Amino acid sequence: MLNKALLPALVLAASQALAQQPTLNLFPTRVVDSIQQTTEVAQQMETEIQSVLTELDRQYELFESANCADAQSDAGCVTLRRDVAESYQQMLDIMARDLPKMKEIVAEARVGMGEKIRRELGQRRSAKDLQALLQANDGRSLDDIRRRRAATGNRMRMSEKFRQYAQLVSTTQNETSLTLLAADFYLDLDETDALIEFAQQEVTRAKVIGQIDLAMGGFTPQMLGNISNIKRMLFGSSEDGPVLPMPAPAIEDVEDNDWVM
Amino acid sequence: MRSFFKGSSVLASFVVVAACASTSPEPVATVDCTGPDANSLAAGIAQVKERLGEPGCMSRYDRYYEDLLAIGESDPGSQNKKVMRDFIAWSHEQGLIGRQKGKEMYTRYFHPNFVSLPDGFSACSSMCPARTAIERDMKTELSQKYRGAVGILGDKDAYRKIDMQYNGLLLLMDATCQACADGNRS
Repeated sequence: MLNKALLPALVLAASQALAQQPTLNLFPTRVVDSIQQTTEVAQQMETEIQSVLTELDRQYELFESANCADAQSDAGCVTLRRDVAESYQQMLDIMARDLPKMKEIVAEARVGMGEKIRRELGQRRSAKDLQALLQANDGRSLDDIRRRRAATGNRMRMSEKFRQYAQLVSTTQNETSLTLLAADFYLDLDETDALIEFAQQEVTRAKVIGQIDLAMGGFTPQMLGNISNIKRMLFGSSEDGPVLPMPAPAIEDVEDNDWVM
Repeated sequence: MRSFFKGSSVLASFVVVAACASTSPEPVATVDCTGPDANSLAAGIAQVKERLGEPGCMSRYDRYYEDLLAIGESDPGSQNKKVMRDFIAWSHEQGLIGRQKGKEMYTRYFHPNFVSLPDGFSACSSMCPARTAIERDMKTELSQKYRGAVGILGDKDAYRKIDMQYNGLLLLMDATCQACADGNRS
């Protein structure tokens, strides 16, 4: 009897507790700051490298038009070859200077996001709860994200990618959209971290080889390949299709009581 | 023992002779447990209900459900959702299936939720260690949902949403399990 009397009150209390559950916020302030910082550092690095690349392009055009590849002993070509190699070294120096800072910021953001996601999604929620989170979206904001991402192509400038994340985090209100955005961002940070590490190794290797080539007055096809890789890594390529996953839209007709026996 | 068989043989012979001698034998009741052969889902369900009324056919319940899904595919339409739901509810009322099984049968084909996901306990402890098996089951369930939404209900838009739900879930699972693994490492 007592149980029967208590039951409605307990149900009411439980539903109130659910209603009062704090909003799921997977983007801690320090992560938002990190996104901003990464954008700025990446932007600065890209701007500096872009100017070196412009100079390199100009030098290489001269190198080609003067047929310097076949004129090993020509004094002008020797100077030109040395100029190209120096610009190349300058580009590597900029990367060697900025990449560790970027790696540090990205790693910090990754740790912050990882802690949040682990606590809020991994420890406080079951797999079925994750499914329920997806059903609470209004669909519109997710469609916006999907359209934006489909339009950006596979790779984009690192700074642009982080700028877009910062913008999405600040403008997205819907909890489900933010949850998917957080998941996507966290996985992207993982990839970015690996990419930066790879770039650092490549820069170190290229610097060593470049210095040897420079000492011998050379400009090698290997350098051209590296320049091309750096361009692709920093400034992107849209050849491979969309890379950012598409979030789920609203499931309009999902109801727990859709089938009740 | 040997004399018993001998006696049984004599008795059986007597029964056969008696049956042959009779001018109007009693019809032997046979139980028809064959699957439904109707063209519409409603008619198929009527046949299945009749078969399930026979005690000997109850064990074929799962096979009948599969037959009904096949009939639904040959006659798709949104009305099939309610017809199937009513049939499952009837099955439960008749004591043929439990509530949980009924809910799962319906959800697997006609609801966006994935029953393959484990419930209870934290995602880190229950979902991530069994991730490969869960994803395999979800993939199977996705094809069942395709059959239900597109094949039986003829609703491609509903399936598009289910597919999005599936991809969203995989994304959340990826990130969550990565975060859980990172936490274990640190």
